[in-house]
Amino acid sequence: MLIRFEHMKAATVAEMLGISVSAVNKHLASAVAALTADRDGGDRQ
Amino acid sequence: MNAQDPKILPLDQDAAELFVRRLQGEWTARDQADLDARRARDPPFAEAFARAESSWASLDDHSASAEVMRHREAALAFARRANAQRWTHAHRGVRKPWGLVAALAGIGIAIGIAWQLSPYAYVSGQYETRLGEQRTLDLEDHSRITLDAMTKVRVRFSKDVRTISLIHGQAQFNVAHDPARPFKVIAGDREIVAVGTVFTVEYADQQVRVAMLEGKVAVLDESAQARGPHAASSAPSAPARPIELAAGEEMRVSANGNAVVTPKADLEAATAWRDGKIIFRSEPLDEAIRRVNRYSRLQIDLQAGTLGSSRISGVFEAGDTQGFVDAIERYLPVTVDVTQADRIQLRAR
Repeated sequence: MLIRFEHMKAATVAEMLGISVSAVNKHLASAVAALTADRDGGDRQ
Repeated sequence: MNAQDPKILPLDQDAAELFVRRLQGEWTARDQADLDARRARDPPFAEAFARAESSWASLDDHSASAEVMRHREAALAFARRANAQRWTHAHRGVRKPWGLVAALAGIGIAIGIAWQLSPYAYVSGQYETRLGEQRTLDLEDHSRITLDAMTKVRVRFSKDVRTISLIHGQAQFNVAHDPARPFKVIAGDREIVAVGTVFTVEYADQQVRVAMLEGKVAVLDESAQARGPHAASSAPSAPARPIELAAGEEMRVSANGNAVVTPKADLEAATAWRDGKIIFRSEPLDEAIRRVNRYSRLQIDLQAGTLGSSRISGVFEAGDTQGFVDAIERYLPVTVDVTQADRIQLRAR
């Protein structure tokens, strides 16, 4: 949400949340993958 | 969701990680060449990467949807809290107690001054109407709230969100479009989130009624959110998903939390109060009396019993309590007693 819609940098989010930039990117990648799975869910059934 | 989610294919996770790495700027010409080469020799990966790109782009279509607005606001609030905690913790033990108190007082004063000077300051506050009174509030953002009689709202605007608490009564909300600031109406444990739309909300006796005239809203059950996924129950359950309401639909939430959505709502009845009328269509008598009592000093008391669940229909002028009582007397087995100059008692015959 913060990166996609509020246009924040991963470094900014990492600093706000007190986690590493790579952890932020990992969360973001998981969210993208989950969204892909959700969108493709109907096609795979 | 996470990488262990069985719905996520490892290839999609792999592609998403590469997609994010490219998105975040740590990306060289060599990285791009490697990506191109892999896509050329591995078509399933190329498809997974395209799916990740498409998923990311698809979010544009939903950026102003009520549900996404709600999540955006929650994310910002979470980030603000996390940031505030970080600063609080960072200075723990460094400042002397009195220094900290003075600093906090200074910040408080600064925030107070900033709030007073902000363009949104004058709209914040509490507004209420009395018996039979209706009132329209034109807000700074060009949204408009029309309060029915005996209604109380609290308006609070901030940079990120426009929040209206409907403490009791009924109001119509004409929401000005502002994708950056969702418009939230809180009624009991329900939260109605809109972007640009027109709807009415009634909150009385712990019952919530939302009628949609234009646009869309998402209705969230804050009590379910508070209970969370591991609430004490026989089996863990996921938090309730928001209910999306579109134009023409109505949702009623009973005092025990049951929500019923009517796809083709009687909007004429839901908005009749704007024209000084009350329309009942097979309404329980006790609810009808509660509505009628909103508009007149002459109050109706219904004697406890089964009469309250009797259904009535009809169109009445708001404030014409005597006309309403006359009609009830004709159609239902009731006895009418005028107990005081401003009180009428109805009891089963």
